[in-house]
Amino acid sequence: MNPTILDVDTGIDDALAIAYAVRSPALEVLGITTCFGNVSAEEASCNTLTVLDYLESDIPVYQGAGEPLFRKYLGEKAVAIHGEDGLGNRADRILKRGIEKQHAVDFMIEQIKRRPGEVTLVCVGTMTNLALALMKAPEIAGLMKRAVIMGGAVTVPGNVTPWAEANIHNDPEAAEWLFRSSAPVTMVGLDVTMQTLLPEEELDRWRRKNTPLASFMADISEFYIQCYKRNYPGIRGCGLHDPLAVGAVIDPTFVTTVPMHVQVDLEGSLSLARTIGDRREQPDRRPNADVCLTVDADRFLAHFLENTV
Amino acid sequence: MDDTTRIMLDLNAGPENALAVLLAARSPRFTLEGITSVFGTSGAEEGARNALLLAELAAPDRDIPVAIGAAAPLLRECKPAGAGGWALPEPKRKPVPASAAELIVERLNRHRGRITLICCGPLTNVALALVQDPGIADKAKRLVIAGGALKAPGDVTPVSERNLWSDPEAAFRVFRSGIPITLLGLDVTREAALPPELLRSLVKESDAVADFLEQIIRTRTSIRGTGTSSGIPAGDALAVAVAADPGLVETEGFSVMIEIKGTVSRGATLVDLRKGLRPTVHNCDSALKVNNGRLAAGWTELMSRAAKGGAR
Repeated sequence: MNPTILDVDTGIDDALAIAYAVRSPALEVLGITTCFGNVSAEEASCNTLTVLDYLESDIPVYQGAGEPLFRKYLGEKAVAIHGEDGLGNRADRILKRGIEKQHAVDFMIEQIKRRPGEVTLVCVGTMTNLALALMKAPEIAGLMKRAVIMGGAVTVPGNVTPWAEANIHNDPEAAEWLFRSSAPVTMVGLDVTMQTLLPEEELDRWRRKNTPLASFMADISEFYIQCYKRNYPGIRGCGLHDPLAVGAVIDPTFVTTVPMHVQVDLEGSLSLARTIGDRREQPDRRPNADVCLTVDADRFLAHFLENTV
Repeated sequence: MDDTTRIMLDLNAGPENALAVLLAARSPRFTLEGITSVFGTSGAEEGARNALLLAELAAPDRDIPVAIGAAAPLLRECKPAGAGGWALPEPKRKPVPASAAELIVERLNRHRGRITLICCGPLTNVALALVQDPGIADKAKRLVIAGGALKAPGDVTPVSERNLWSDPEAAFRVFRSGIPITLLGLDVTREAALPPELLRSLVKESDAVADFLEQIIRTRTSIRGTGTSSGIPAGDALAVAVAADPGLVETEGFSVMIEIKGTVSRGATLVDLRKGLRPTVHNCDSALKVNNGRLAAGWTELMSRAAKGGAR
């Protein structure tokens, strides 16, 4: 069992990632921390509790950062992609419980220190909570097993701008803080996540299961796929961004990584928040991240579909 | 009918620049309409001095005008560069009184649509020329830039190449100007190597240029070029060769934007490669690959004609 903290801004693909992680026997999900991003931190907490309710799970939820470290929020709520409520307008559950009192950042620090060298952090939203934790307790960089982030794009175009990916763009300094921290980082970026599409046909299979969880997952995924079809004409599904980060922890052989020095453009007028991998033959600096460049998409997808709903 | 390619060279005093001058001045495929210097590996004055001397040695019967250009970037502070280190005698001629930008404007207006401008340094002079006369954007046959890095990594930073990094504001204005551009970035310039024996075919026995060329061959480290050839790095000479024969490289049209801000990204040649969102209006043909099948023959042809024709 891999003790894991999932940091989310739930969001539709976050919901899929939560389900995949919670139902995986390979992971022990210690808690789920929330931050702003696709939605506000408060909405992310409510949506996370909603998803956990469908999963009949009592994993605790800790709310975290509501805004970027050093700047005004650059993005805007991703209504077109994730719906008005962040869950394709399906966050209609009456919640039976609330969030924990402890702040997300303190929960991260506490758990990492309690189990030195064991805890994996899977950050599928902005890296703000983790950056704050590293600011507050820099020693956790050497105590965490690994930070696996969904974010960035080294060898492929961005999504929110031609060069930047949304999770990095929502708080570029937080991402750079993590890259500079000496924590072991695996970057699961658009380089691989745009290759793992959830095919529309699968949703019918989920619906035929006729469980509240399966119907819920099918409905929110349907919303997400419609958005993908508008944004990427001709595409046949939606990108499983956040679930792939979870997949890379469940079975690291789903991806292959290349050690690289990565830095985030914090100043550019055009390429702000671009994750710049030093791909020169003689890089200036030592690698600070393992960047996923290829993915066994079929094997991952089969595993995800088999084990999520 | 004149079948030569009319070119102007904009450069500084580095050894790769020198090979470009030799090729441009010696090969009968070209009519060298002028040389302008710009700050870079050397100061602009030293660049002009070296260009004068090389032009004198390589084409003694012609009076190729050389103009001193910008000593610093448009906006950036510029540390004085170290000397080029070439043991060269004083040239006999002097630079023309016009500035580099003025000479570019004058030549492009005199031979409308016929001159290919080749920039092997920061783009400051062309940016200034475009301010003096924005109309030259339509009067240049083409601007060939040895600089940038489209899909290949950069050199000064992971994403920026030195020439465009040195004056990103100038590059920004040039790429926005509408002048037709061929961009030879690190994607291809690193692949261009000239074997010493081929270079020697540029000179004849007891040629005034020979000593200088031997000095370059001796002091430059040989690199492996494209295919199996290896030799002296010759990215700037490739830009000259491409002016005569665009087929030496494989290009693709892009809408290139220059990043002017940021420690890492300054000077980066940015393109939007998102599926379905790629701009359809292009400002630039960017070389992505050397045409292996043609480059060796292309070099040989340019060089051998130089040897046969000698100095014009």
